[in-house]
Amino acid sequence: MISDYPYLEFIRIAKECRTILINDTLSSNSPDLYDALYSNSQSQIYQIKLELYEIKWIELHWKKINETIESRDCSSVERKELISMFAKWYRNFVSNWNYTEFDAVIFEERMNILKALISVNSEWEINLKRMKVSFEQSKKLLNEKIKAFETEEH
Amino acid sequence: MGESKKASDNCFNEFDDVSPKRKNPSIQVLYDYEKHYMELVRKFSPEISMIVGMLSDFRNEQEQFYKEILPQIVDKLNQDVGIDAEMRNVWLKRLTTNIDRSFGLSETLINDYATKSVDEFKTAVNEKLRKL
Repeated sequence: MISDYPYLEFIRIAKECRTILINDTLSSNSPDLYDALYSNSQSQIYQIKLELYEIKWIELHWKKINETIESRDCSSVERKELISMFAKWYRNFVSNWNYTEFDAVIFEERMNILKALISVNSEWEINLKRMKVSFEQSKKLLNEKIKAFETEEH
Repeated sequence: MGESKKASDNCFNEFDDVSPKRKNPSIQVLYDYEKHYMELVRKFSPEISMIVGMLSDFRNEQEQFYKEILPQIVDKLNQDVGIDAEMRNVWLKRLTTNIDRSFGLSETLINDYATKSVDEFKTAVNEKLRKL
């Protein structure tokens, strides 16, 4: 029988991430966000900066999921089942953002990795690492785009 | 003839998965059913209360966001002279979209949890009924 744990944990994580999003705006907590907000709205650079901030916020959910799974004392079978459940919900959540302009290839790859994680196959450890790499790729790509735009503007 | 009919009845009754008690429920069976049902409702009452609580917290959080937090955010962004009007509108739109998507995730999780609990309750009821 599936325990209550994954449901209650993801509900907690979603709420925590909402609070972070609100506090980042209200308390000027996030340099990434305010760097975007202080940008020139006529320049395309602000879109990339906002996208970078949002990617980090979306990734935060996945980081917290990993932390909660890591901290749970459970068998390998239960771990796989938990990853599959979290990946299914997370994939649906992430599919709301379709970054076709700057991040399309990595976005598609990320969706495929999550699909593989849902199927509870034997490569779940590799796929968890691939998810981490996928977010790193996105952030690197967006940071490079920001630098390129900044160089152009100066 | 009478004997053969009786023999045939016995033969089929042997493979019948509906007990005679359930075919013609007596007052006692109905009483047992109600009793077991109420016992299960009592057993599952913490889960039922929890789901009601989760839904209530969730609705309160949504209401608080739109009635209290969003106006605070609008004020904060309006007061910040470093943020131009267009940027302010862009971020307010993206912020509410992000929050709404996150609310959607929470709603899905609560619904899935409620469905799981209802399924467990139905299974428990069916198991009890099978024993009556």
